[in-house]
Amino acid sequence: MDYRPSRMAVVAKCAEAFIREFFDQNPLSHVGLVTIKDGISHRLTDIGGSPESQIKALMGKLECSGDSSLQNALELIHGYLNQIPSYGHKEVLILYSALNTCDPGDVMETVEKCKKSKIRCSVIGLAAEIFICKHLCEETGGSYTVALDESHFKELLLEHAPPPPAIAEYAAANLIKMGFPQRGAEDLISICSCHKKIKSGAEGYICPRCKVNVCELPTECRTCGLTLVSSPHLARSYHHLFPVAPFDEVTFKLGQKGGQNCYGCQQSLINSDSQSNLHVRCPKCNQHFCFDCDIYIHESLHNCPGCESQRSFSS
Amino acid sequence: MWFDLDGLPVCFPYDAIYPEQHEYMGELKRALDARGHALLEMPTGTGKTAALISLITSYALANPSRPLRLFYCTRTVHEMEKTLAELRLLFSHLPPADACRLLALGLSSRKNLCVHPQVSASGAVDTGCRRLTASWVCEKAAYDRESATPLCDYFETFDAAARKGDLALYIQPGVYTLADLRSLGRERRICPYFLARHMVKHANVVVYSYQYLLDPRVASIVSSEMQKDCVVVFDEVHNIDNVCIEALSVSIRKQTIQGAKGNLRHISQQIDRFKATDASRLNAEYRRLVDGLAQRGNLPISDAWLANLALPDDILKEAVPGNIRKAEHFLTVLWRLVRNLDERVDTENVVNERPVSFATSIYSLAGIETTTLRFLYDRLQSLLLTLEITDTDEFMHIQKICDFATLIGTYKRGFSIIIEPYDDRMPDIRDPVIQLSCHDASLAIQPVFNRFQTVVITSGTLSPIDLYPRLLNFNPVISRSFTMSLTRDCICPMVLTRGSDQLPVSTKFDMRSDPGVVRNYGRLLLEMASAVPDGIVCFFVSYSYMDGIVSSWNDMGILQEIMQHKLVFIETPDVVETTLALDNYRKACDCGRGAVFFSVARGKVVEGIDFNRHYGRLVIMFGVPFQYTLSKILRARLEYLRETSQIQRQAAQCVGRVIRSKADYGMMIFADKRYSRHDKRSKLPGWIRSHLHDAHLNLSTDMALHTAREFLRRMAQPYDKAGSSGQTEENLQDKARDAMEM
Repeated sequence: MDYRPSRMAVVAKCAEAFIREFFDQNPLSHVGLVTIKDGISHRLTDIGGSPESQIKALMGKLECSGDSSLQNALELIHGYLNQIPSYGHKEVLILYSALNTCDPGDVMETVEKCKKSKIRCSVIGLAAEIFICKHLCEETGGSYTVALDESHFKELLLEHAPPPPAIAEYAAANLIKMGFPQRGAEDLISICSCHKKIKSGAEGYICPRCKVNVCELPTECRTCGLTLVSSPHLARSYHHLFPVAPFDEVTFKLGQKGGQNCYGCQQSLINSDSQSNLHVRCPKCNQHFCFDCDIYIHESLHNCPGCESQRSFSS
Repeated sequence: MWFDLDGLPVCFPYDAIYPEQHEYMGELKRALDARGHALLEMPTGTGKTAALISLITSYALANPSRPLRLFYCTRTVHEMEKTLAELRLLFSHLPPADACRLLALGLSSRKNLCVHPQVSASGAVDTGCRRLTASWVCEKAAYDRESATPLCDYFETFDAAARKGDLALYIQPGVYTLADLRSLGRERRICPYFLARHMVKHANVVVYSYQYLLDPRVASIVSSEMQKDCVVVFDEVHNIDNVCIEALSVSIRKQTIQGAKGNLRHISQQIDRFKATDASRLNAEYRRLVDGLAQRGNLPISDAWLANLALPDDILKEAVPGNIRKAEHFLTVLWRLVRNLDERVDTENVVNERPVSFATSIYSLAGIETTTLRFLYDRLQSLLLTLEITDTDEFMHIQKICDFATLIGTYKRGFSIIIEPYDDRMPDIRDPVIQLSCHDASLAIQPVFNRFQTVVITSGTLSPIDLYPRLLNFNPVISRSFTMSLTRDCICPMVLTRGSDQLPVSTKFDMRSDPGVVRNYGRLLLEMASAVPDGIVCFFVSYSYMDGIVSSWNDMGILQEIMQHKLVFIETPDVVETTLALDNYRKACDCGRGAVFFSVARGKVVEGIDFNRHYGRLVIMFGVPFQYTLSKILRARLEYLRETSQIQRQAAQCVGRVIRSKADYGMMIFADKRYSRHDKRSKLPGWIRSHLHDAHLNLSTDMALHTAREFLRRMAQPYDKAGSSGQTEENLQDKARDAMEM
């Protein structure tokens, strides 16, 4: 066979990595798993926000047999995703190993239905390009790729982790209530609501509404149901909406006033042994950064420390 | 974009041009300059149509002394629409001053153009139309207003406008597809069919089926309207020789003769009726024939059956012989002929005769001279008109017999008459047939070559290209074969010589019924069905072989296994059934179920159907297709041609239908050990050979499967659509500049 030890094992392994990566990139998003086998589709997990429970459910149910039915799967998914409020992106990622689909009815109608409900369907095929999958992806605005081998498969899968660019007509503006909890004080000892264990405040966060202690962000407060996030999470989820402006490359003129150190990591920007004093500057806050921090800010952090601290000064 | 081609400004409706298109245009221009014919082979999907029309249009615009007159002949209505869409795109890129002078339209039969609410809904559009529009019907309605003779309003509008000579008001310059013509007709309440037929005289570009030029029976309405300086293009004509031959071949069965007898009885009743009521009409016709007036030319447009294009001119000038001028005399001649044929068809053994000896036997047995035979077709048309018969379908049988007689009387060479008492496929059932088969493809197309200064024959498969001038008997000034510049290796031909058990596979006669070979072929298809998505097309060498192998697969259980992966559809000699099977095959490919289509390499039904994109990801050719050499007609033809290199073209055409555009991809498997021999392989067209790697020349099933999997993965990867092979305007200008500097 083409994937070793088996397609199932490879797909499961990559799916696990994907789920972790997905929650890391989209802390506010939820995921549900659906399996397709024996001509029917089966809901493995409900749509939820915890990576661990999803992975556990997936690993416990690794089976494959029979024909696959794309239509059944899409119908099931459509049923779930249709209830999602309009501000959310509705996305389906199908990992498709079969080369055909045995459907009870006209799959084209289902594709149309998905298109109408603005569900973006993407497919990653394991063997070859299938017309109906391509059609589905083209109609719903998703992407269709076929993996060459295991590493390529993983790469393709992880490409789906960052959120897609928001399409203006899809995203209806809506106000959502969210809490930004603060880390508890050192001396505060309380029982965390998630593990029911006694913890000091520094290990958890305090819900701003009901003051209960939670261990991890993002989450939903167990007591009052408020969505609890931190601002980097928001930034990571919505960095497509508010991208950090690219930094300008500047050379450091000797004798120039201002910070000689990187605003991010406080390392000296002056390279003693060579003439290359190249570094970058944020066009908004005019703070200087080294290249390492530039990469970190743009690829992981998605907000500029200089701009953020200025904002806090002014407010 | 605009670019300069050897001093000719060419308007091309796309931003980039492929190098082969550029070259193609160059050759075409040379042919136009030399005012000669051209034969150009370029793989499908490289934009032949766009290159052709943009060059010819630009050429005409640059040479105002030679106005643009282009007759573009396509094979199907669908291709016609595609060509018109290209034209529309091109016209939108032309300067408005030029574009607003040009008129392009598609022309098709009444069936496709009729907008009359009742007639178009009925099955027999031609007959229905004639019943409402024939000149005597109109006359009668005008003469006798109370009788309320039903007329077609659409035709009346056309007729009134034609009388006033202001038809041009109805149609503005531009591009008209069939749908456009229909909606125009509905809007202005004018008959689109007659309007289009009339506008052909004035249109700059006419797109229609090549039957209009080649088949004398389809009555070439344009024959009198086309001047010498027209450019005639035959597109997608890889089987033009067959079309030409079919246009001049007639087969008469027992039913035809029975039907003809019925027709004759009907005609004689009509004649009697006319004699009693309106003898003057018959007399007028007689007098006209005595005067030697050819009946065409002075007939109203709606009645015209039009000139027999395939007849030599000298016949048309001769007067109709005296013994068939009078209607009843003519009828007795026909009776004698039909009875004679009826006797001839009742033979027990196969007869193969030349037209001359056949005509002599008619003379000695029925007393009809050869010259008389020649005029039967025209004389019958004239009589049918005189008798005001609109229902032409009913008189098909007698027309067929007159057609047969006229061809025998006219041609001494290039035909043979074969009388077969039994059908080959069912040797037990008596089904006698007289076949007049034409062997010389040049006969039908010769008038076209003689009449027009530039005839361009182009197709995706014309290999071997030097055969065509000989088959069609013409001298092209340009004869070139182009290759496709592909952005990627999108075709993967493979030669499979061994099955999974490493034993050779072949359809050679001594091996084809070997269960091992049958099983190996079955396993091959099964493995491929599990690895290839969507559609697979299998070609077999003959119907009988296909039937045999499919039933053995069924016994072995292989067919059932294949059905788990894909649905199976089979071509039969029945057109309706096969069309249905093809439709369902497409549907199965579309909805992702996947399907296999079993077809026969020379199958009539599938001929000309494209299995492009997902409809044919893989084509498997089981065996080497040979012409069926036991067919009497074919043998007679081969004798005539002394030419046997028809064989491999079929294989190339079968597999060549996988690729229709650059974005497309497909695999071909030639499953026969004989393909590994160089002499067989060398007859495949160059563009397939160039993709045939040495490593793929001698594969077994498992190796082929591996190659297929790899290929499909590779092809599914995204690629640069614009491609590096396209050239933009700037590139071409740069090139031109470089050339100037050198």
